[in-house]
Amino acid sequence: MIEARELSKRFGDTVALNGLSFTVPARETFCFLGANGAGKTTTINLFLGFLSPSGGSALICGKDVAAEPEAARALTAYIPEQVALYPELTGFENLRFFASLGGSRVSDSDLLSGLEAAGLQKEAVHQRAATYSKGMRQKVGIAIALAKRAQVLLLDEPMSGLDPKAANDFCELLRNMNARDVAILMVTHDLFRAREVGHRLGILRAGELVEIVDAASVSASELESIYLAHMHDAVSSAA
Amino acid sequence: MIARQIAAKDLTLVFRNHRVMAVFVAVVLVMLGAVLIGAERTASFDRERNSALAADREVWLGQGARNPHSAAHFSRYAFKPLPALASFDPGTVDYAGLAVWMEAHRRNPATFRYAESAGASSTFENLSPAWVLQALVPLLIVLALFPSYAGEREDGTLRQLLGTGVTSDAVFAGKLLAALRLLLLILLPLVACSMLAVAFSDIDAHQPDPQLRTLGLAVAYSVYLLAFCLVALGVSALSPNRRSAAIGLFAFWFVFVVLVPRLAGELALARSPQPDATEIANSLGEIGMAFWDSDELRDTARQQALEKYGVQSVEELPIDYAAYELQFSEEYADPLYAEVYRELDAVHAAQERTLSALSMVSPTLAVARLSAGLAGTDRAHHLAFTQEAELHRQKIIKQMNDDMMLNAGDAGYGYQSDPEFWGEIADFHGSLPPWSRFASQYLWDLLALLVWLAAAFLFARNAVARAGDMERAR
Repeated sequence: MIEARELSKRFGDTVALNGLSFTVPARETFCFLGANGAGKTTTINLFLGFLSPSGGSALICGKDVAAEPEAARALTAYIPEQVALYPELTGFENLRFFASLGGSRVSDSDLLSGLEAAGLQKEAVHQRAATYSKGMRQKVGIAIALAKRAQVLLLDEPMSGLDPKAANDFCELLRNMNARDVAILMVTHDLFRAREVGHRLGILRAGELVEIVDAASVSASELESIYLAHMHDAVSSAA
Repeated sequence: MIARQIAAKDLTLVFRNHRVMAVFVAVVLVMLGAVLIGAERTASFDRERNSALAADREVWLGQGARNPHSAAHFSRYAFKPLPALASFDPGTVDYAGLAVWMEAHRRNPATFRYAESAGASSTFENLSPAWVLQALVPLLIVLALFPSYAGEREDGTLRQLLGTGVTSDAVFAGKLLAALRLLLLILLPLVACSMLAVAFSDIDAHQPDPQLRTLGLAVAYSVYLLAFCLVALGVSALSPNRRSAAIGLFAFWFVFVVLVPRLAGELALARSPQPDATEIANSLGEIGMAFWDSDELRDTARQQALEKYGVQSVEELPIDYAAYELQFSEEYADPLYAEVYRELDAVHAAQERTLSALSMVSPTLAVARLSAGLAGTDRAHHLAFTQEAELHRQKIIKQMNDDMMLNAGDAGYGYQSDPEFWGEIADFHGSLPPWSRFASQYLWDLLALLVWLAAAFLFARNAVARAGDMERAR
């Protein structure tokens, strides 16, 4: 489970996040929507322990990330916009390496099964990652999360730049992860993919969570209207 | 556990880098070549030394009936014993001279400097395992480790790595472990080949403490190369990309391995200029003739002889007075020679002090000095040889003067020693002194290496922590 309690972050005089509170239970995907600078990536960095909160707390399965960073990270997998792999290693070797860092031993056959479950083509498994497309890298990223048996998945613009087929495949993978009791927090600009994969959608504006929308209760165009209305408010108030 | 995984991954990346592997193979081959060349060169010196010693003895013993003072001018050579470790680090061997001509009335400097007589081939013969370790292996370390952090940052894998929950300390430990394993891979062929070379060496001169010296060399080079690894990791951690890490580290290598030692040598010479060789030769010549050109000194000698034997005139002396004068002149000149060499040595010692002080600036300078000292090929060991040779010269010249003094009767310079007498004049068999005699001279260099290691560790640790913070804050 992912939980933010009055989570705040300041960089000098700038307020990046202001009293953010939300909960993402297991088997749910929560998507953060917002313009650049709204605080989406800052939220991910706080849950990863890359940043320390100025106030409040970020919890992973009840563990405060700031107080117990290692325990929290052990339960977390992270997929950035561009999954970074060692180009000289094959996809399988990359997976084996990142999986080994979790401390648990995963057999080669389980790793191969993970890659297969993530949708990586068999012929690509033993090719060097330097030859991989972005979609293939994201699949390895999912396989890493599977191998780690992460209970929480943090995604930062994971579908940016993916072609429609690859994005569709990726959404399917996320649904599969939910089915494995994983709680997912994803930040994205893509309203339509967010609605497709997310259970709830949070709209962030200037570091504040201004609305939470139930994805199943709105159409794509309604979501766009809600989102743009908040962005328009932001422009109006700024003016 | 995590450090081992990171180390294994880093080594795989190094092994898959064809450029690094090509340089690695080249360095290992150069190193093996250096071991073989060094071993053959030292063995060749030893063979030549033994052959020259045998020839010198044969001529000496075969000179027949002859006046001992005439023989003292003909005299003999003291050949410098070379330690087996000279094949590892030749130090000053090529420049300091390999033999001293021990003659009457003159304390000669060491001669037969290999550097003066070597031809074009000396370029390759100067290749020694010590030089490879001092200059080439650090270059290989730079080449292998510059992408260590910078490459991960450039590829985004550092953030990915830290995102898995691995701490900066674990990443640092893994990368350091990879560097140590790489070092081991580089050094193992050298150590194995050196051990074989020493095992099959038939060098006569034996150091009293080869194990201690070898251990010292192992420690000194381990500290030196480890410091380089840490600097490489630190610079790589602070560099935004591979290119800037490579430029920074190659600049570091050039400045501290090539430039500073060269400038230090120039500075040492500028601060303590080498005395003019002609002036020294003239001084030695004047000392040799001082007694014979001074009526006062000759009167003193005569007076001393008369008092010693309780007689009124030289004619009444029970000894050959010409031989007495010869020995008196030697004993008069010996401290004066010692003074000339002391002054010369003081200049060299001042040069060495400058170099030693600058070893805080360059670890290469520190390890080079320490290496030559431990190998027994530095100036201090050479000085010990020349001093031992001088004591031997004084002993055999006195032996010959005494023979003439006691046995010449009235014959004076017409006296001829029995051919059997030449066998009583001992060959010079120099001893190789123990390290304990010189260790105190190298404490500063050892301290410099340890300071470099500590500073490199702190630098790398802070750089890595900073790099981790920067990466997380991106």
